[in-house]
Amino acid sequence: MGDYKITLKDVFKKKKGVAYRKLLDETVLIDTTRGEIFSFNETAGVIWELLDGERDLGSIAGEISSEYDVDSDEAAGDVVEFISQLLEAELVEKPA
Amino acid sequence: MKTLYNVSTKYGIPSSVILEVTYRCNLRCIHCYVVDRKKKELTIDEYEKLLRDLRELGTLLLTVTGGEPLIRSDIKELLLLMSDMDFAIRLFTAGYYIDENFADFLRTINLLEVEMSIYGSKPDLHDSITRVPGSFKKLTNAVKLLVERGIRTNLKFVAMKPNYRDVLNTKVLAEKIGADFYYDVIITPRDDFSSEPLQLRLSKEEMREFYSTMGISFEFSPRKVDDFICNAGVGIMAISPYGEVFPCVQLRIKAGNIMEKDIADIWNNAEIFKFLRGRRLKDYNCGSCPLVDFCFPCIGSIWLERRTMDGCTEGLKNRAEVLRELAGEK
Ligand code: SF4
Repeated sequence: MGDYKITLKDVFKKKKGVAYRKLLDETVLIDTTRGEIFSFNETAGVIWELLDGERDLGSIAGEISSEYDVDSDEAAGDVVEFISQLLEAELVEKPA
Repeated sequence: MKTLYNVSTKYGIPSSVILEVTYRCNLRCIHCYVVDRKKKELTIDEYEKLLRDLRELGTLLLTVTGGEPLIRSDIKELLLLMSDMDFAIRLFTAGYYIDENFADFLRTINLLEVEMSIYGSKPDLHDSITRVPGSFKKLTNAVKLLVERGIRTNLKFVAMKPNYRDVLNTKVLAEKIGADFYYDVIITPRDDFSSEPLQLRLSKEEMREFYSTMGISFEFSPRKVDDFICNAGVGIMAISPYGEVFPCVQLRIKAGNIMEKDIADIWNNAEIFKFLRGRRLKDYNCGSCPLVDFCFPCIGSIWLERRTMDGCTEGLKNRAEVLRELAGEK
């Protein structure tokens, strides 16, 4: 999905086989299929939680914007940027 | 790279927990340390509460072991529960009960790896150690089913007097059938401190022969005396099928029972955990031992053999001496 252009209408879900735990200020993940460990900061962890295969990125960005009191363009930019990292790391997928 | 150990020490949580889900087993391995006390095992509902509490506490990785975990009639339900609660799972089994159906099931859960023990490259040798005819065939068949499904599969060879000379053949076999191969030379007394398994332990000469055959593929570096001696009670704990909580499966000093107290309370307040967190390598004999850089000290096995955490065992000392000798020759 290297050249895929992410839009706010897109919906993603956590890849199967990824175990994760939200700790104080970070979320730690183990991708059991590859045996690798990852960790995200607090905001990224909130986005991760919201990737349920149903909500689109626009709605997730809306939630981030109100939760952390950042303007909606900035939140949308952050969400898209984070999703592109997750795609690169193969931790999310499109729902079937 | 981030490790669960870093996560544990940063937050003071048990990021990895060993769950002995039963002590029952269909094999009768000659060196096994487990003693089946035949008490009532935790039910699925009791596990559900425990898993919820562990999730809350921050645990991410569960090692499911036994006895033979697959002997539990509700094992699928239990593994599914763990996976649904977003734990990663390592499964230790003899593979005897892994058929196509079970292997298919394992693909559907958050399974990091399956680890099984192999005691030789030929059925007769392996089965003479498990004391169950046909166990080698079941094991190799299980490896095939798992590997075909892309499940990471480790075979661990426990070197003892009757089998240590077969290690290279076993390694070749393991790799041929697609498993990763590990070995161990440390044999411990049983959980009730009985020492029969120690008769199987390699002598120093046998260890030298063993490591000369295998070669030393690991690097030695100076140990830091201000580090913890191991992860027991610091980042891991073990929970028996009866709900008893220990720092690890070998360091069986009871911290509490989950049927009497919440696991978070036990983890945070049990004396043995506080004791282990307060001690560093320098506070044990190992801290001043000249062999320490060539040793993998295990206070659990020292405890089982000597009923104290201070001291050493013949097996650990022999191994460290042999490794130092061979490292010097490298
Ligand atoms: S040889 Fe014994 S005392 Fe020395 S470091 Fe190893 S376990 Fe500790």
